[in-house]
Amino acid sequence: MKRALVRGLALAIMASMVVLPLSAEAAKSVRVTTGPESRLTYQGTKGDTTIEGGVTIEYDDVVITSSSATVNIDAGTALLSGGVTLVQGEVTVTAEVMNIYLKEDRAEFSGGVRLTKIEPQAEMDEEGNPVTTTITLDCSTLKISTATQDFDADGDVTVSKGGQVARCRTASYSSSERRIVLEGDVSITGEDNESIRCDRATVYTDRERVEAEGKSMEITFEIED
Amino acid sequence: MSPRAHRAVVAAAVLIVACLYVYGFVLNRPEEQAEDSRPRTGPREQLVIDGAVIQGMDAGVTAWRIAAESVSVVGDQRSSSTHVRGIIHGEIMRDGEPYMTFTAGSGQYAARTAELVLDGGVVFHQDGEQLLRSDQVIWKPDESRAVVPGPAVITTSSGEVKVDSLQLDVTADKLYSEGQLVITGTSSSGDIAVRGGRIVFDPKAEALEATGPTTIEFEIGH
Repeated sequence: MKRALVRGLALAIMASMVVLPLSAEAAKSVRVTTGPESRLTYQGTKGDTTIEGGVTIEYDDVVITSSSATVNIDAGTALLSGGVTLVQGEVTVTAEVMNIYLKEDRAEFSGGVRLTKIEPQAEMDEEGNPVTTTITLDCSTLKISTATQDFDADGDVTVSKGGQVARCRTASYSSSERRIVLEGDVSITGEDNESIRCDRATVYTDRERVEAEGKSMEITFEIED
Repeated sequence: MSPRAHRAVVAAAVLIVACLYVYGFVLNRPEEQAEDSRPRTGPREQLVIDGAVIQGMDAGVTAWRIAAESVSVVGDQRSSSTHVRGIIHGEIMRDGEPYMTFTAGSGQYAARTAELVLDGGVVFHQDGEQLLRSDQVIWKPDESRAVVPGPAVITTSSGEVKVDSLQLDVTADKLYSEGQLVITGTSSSGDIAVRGGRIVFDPKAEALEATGPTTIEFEIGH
């Protein structure tokens, strides 16, 4: 009985030793910098911090800039507006308004949202380096995870990749699978004006591959004489 | 006189002289003046008062009042300074009424500058609550301003705010912080560091306003 208790205690101590460093690592350092003509008002940690006149928020590998911001430090949230730009590695998002949830590593953009992402392709160049393609996505609203860079786009979505342009109502990107799932009145037009209309399509971002599906599908292409 | 008798007389005479010498210069030596048991006050101090209340005037109105363990005055009328030790209670006035109270190790009032310099564990209270503490505070009655040239700690209802230096505008009831300001113990996000800009801190509302380039640093996920 005693031996079991001692083993249990030892296990608990070891578990706490593992958990404590993990929880310590979970803390995220956030830096908010204001512009030379800025005005910052801090209403206590429970209240909001408002910034006018240019602001930059930095954490992890994320840099966000905008004209103004309202930050709630205790809640770990921020509302940014006016020429919002988020840069994280190969991803850049611009919009009119952005809500960021720092504790949850996610952000929501609205108003003229444009995302660009430089995606390495499966194909290699002559020197053996991966070829890169720029993917551009325009939409009304965008929800993105800054932990994974997965995103969900909504409202008049347009996705451009190379000479290919896809339009749909919603789009979801999975970074791990390197693909965008397009849904709702999907139309994809290729470089040679070939097009596909369908209910749902999957665009692979790291290769030249599109999968279309749905109850009705319309494919248009030109046949050379 | 026989030589033997002569030697006996000389020896007796020498013995008498020796006894007189011992009596005159050793046994009967005049006592040295006893040292002054009172504490030395320094060559320039003209007046020392143990336990006193003094007050400074500005344009005919009381600007500050101090109750101290001792007060000494140094110098002439033109360049005199008043040294105060063991300030057990002090008051800084606004419009003739107590605005803040304080305690400090010592203080010095120079007539030439009309400034009151408080040193050593200076603690200010307002409305019965501790407001700030620092090693030195300079009260400038003619400017209605208290200057804290070094690090200070402002006490708020939920924590503390550490500043590199600050100025207190008594008329406007505002604290101007310079350098870095660190808010501790108020947020689940840990310390909040604010740097740069011109920072105006309101200890009652625990709020601040900063203009110009400013940086706020904090941590999320505690």
